[in-house]
Amino acid sequence: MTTSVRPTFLDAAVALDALADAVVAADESSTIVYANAAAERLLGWPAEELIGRPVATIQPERLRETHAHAHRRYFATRVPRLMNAPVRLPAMRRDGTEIEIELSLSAIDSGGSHLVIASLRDLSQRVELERQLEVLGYLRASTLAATRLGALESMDDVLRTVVDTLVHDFSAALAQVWLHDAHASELILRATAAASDGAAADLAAAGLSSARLAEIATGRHPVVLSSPRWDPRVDGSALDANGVSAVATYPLLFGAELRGVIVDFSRRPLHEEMAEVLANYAAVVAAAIHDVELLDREHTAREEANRSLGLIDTLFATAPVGLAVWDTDFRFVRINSMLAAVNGLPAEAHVGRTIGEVLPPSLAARVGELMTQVVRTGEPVLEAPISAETAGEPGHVRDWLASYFPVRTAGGELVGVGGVVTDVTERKRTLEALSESEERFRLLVENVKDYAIFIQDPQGRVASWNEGAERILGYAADEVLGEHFSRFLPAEDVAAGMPEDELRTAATRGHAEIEGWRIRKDGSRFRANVVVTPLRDESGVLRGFAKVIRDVSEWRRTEERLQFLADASAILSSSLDYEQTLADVARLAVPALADWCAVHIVDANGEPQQLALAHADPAKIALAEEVQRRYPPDPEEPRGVWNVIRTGRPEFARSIPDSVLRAVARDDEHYELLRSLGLAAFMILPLISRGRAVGTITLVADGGGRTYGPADVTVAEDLASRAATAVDNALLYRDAQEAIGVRDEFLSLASHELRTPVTILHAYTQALTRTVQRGLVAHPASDGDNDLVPLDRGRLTNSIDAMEQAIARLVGLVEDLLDVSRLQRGSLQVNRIRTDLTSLVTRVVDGFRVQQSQGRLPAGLSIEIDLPDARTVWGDWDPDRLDQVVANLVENAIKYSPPDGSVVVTVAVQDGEHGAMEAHIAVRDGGIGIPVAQQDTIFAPYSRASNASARNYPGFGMGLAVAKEIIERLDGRIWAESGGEDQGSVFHVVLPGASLGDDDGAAMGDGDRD
Amino acid sequence: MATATDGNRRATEERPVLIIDDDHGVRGVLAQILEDEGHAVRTATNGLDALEKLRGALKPCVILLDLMMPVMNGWEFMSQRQEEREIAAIPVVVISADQGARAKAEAIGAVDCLEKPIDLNRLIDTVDRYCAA
Repeated sequence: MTTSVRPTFLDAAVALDALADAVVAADESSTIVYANAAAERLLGWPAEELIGRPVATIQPERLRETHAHAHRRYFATRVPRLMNAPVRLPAMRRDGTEIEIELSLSAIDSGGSHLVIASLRDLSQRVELERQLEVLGYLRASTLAATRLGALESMDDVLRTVVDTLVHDFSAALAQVWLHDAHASELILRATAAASDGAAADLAAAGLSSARLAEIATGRHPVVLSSPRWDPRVDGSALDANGVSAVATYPLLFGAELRGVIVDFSRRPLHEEMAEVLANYAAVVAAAIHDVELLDREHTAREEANRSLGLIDTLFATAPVGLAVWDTDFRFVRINSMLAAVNGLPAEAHVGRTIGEVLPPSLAARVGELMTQVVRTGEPVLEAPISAETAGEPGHVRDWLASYFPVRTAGGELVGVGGVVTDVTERKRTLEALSESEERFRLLVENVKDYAIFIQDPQGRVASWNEGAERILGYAADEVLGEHFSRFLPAEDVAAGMPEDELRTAATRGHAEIEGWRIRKDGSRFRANVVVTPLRDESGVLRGFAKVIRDVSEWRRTEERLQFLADASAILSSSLDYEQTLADVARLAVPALADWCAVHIVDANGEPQQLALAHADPAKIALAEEVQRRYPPDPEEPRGVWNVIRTGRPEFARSIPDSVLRAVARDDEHYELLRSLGLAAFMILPLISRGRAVGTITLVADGGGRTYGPADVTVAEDLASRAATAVDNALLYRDAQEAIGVRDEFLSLASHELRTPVTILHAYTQALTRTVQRGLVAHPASDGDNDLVPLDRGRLTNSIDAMEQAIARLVGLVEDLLDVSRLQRGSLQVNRIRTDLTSLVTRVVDGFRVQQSQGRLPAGLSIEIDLPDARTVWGDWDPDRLDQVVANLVENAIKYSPPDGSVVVTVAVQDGEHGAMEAHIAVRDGGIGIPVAQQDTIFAPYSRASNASARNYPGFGMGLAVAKEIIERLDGRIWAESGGEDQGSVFHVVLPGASLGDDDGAAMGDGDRD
Repeated sequence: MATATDGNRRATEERPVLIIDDDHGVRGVLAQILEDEGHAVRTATNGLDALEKLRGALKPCVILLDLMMPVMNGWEFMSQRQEEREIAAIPVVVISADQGARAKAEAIGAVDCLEKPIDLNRLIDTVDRYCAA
């Protein structure tokens, strides 16, 4: 025994050597300074070798750090921590094995140095004993536990039992079972049991995450932390609080498959054997889990199987189709109520009977045929149509679609035939009705010609096309299907975004109606009414658009025509100046009714004069005027304005072929000019006024798509009729105005004519009065030296003669006025008396010669008379009236002759009609003559009033009118001849019923007097 | 031309008056009245007749003119008269049955107008105005 360092302590060492327990002393620097004999035995070190070595030499590696820490703290603070309270812990022997000891520490001061005395009691024997007892307990517990598990059928029961067993039978503070989930990717905590309420939470927080466990578990070996308190990875205080001595994990292995982990926070130290027991238990648990899983799977399968069978039964019962299974003899094995009802028998009554026994013969034959086919070919027959009466509903033929199929065992043996029968009677009827109505609708749509009806997809591409569409828009279906409808719109409308607007409006409002221009395939435009309706499916998704297009051009044109007629009527009735109103109407007719409109009115010479010419383009009008100027219309042309006026019949041409232009044109240039006018169709309508064509309206289309149909003709005729009425009214008004003017003029003339003799009478009366007064003044009683004029008998006689002549003139004028009045009333009478014309004419001429001799007619005038050889010409005439006529003619001849002219009156007899004789009187002068145009009109009443040159001559101007009336009343004729102005005139009177004679013949004539 | 006035009893040829009228009766009565007043009266049946006479020795102090006459009417005469200075200097009085003759007379350059039927005193006064003794 060595005694080297501390004599004082060493003095007591002998006594320590005798102790059964090992004693080791260490100094302040944790160097062993003493070890007794028991220590030598316990630790395997000779004392002399141990002394001088650090305490760590006898400590397990893992405890050295903790010891060093406690040791330093102790020597720094002198606060003992482990002193005087024995602890169990392992010590390390010289051979490296550990030995469980109970350590007691104490401190002593010895000779100025401070020593720690450790007493190490060997616990090996006791520990072994304890361990064996515990292992036995574990074994017993695990056997019981395994037995218990074997009785469990559910996973939950197994897992709960495992964790409960660990807590109750294996002293776990906390037990957990973690299992891999279905995908085996991570561990999931499936069951937990704890010794106390707080244990679970405390220990769960102790730091063992599922990830850590998984990491541990992948080792597939039990892992036991025998001294977790010392493990830096766990919170020692949590373990202490729950009395945890060890932590272990046991893999749950089934074969090579890791199913999960059991975690055991044990309140007991876990010896190797105990861990082994628990590992075995874990294997039992894994097996139990597997069993339970199998059991589970079997349960599920069985339940599913049961459910499937139930479904099939339900399916059979409730299927809305007929279902049946037959054996190979076609006996019913099973049938559902649906099909049974069709057969008119309960389902049970079918079983075991053949189809021939159940079904009506024809149906049985048909079904049997199909089923035989199935059996023969081994192939199903699908959707075979069957029509038949049934026992359930006799008298009604029903329709089915039936499918039959072979029924085989798993081995492929044919054991029967299955059938699915669907009643399609109603559906067939509905389909038939539907297809009928669809067909009808389709036919309707396809054949509608007045409307373009088509479908567009949501983008506006044409998807269908009907005949009306083809007719109205000009495209055949194959030309437009798939094309966008914007091609039917004018480019400017497309540019303005109208196609998009149209679809947007229709889509948002459910409807769109548009009126606008549309373009046909040939590029022509028409006025269209377009109705667009969006097409949506049941869920409201836009599928396209239905479109109906109507050509409303004609309608619009009719409106325009009616408007035009209304406007034209308004214009025509606005004024009596028909020249202006017709020009206005012509302008209005363009473009309502025509591209060209011309109005012609017949002038005084019976020739049509163009009153108005209208065209939208002034250049065209200039061109037309040039054509008319260079190629004036030929009155003899068998067509055109002249012809219409001649015949009073309208002319129409729906088109003007080139050949017609060629025929009308007088030369190539004329043809080119006519062609450049662009005439396409025309109407020439007469303006008929009181049965006479007073003018024409010409309407011409110049090819911009305008044609003339019946509606245009009607409108044009209406227009012509209204225009004619307007012209008629205007002419009547003009005539009335003229008549009023003539009457006023006549009154003025009459007043003038009457005033002349009145003036003469008036003047002579005053002159006579004056003469008489002077005569009185010149009375002998008065002063005689005045300048008195002696009363001159000659002058007085002259004056009185002149007054008588003036009075005679007045009487004559009044007679004339009465004649005018008679003429107008038509009441001028003739008295037929046997009359000798020669003596009558002679008497009249003599009268003029007397006037001439009196100086009342120019002295130089020669008035001759030329009578037939037979001195007398007799007839039943009115001598007074004839006297008046001849006097009038001679007076006119004198009046219109120069003062030195000559007037010759001739009487002759000539052959007349029916062998009778006619008397002929001619009054010839060399005077001013009569313009050719007036040779008829001078016999009209008031003609002088409207004749300016004649107005300078006296007279009412009614003489010739009266003369004509008289001669016509005597069945004679009167007319005038003249070579023209200053060519002289001859007035002829012819009287029928003349006879020549030398005697007076009065006896013959007297009886004829009326 | 023979007229009723040709037998003019008055010796005097002073203050001659020319009457232009196509009506024999009118010429006669006017001539008689004016001759009674001591005028030398000449007549013409129309404007042309009158012009021919005026281009001769006839120099009346006044012309009485009817308007509506054949051959050459009053308007034409007035127009022609302007061409010949000596004739144009002779005052013309229009005698007309027309209403509104006064306005017409002024328009054609006549100095006065007498409306038919003629007031004798006015006729004499008017003639006297231009043919003062």
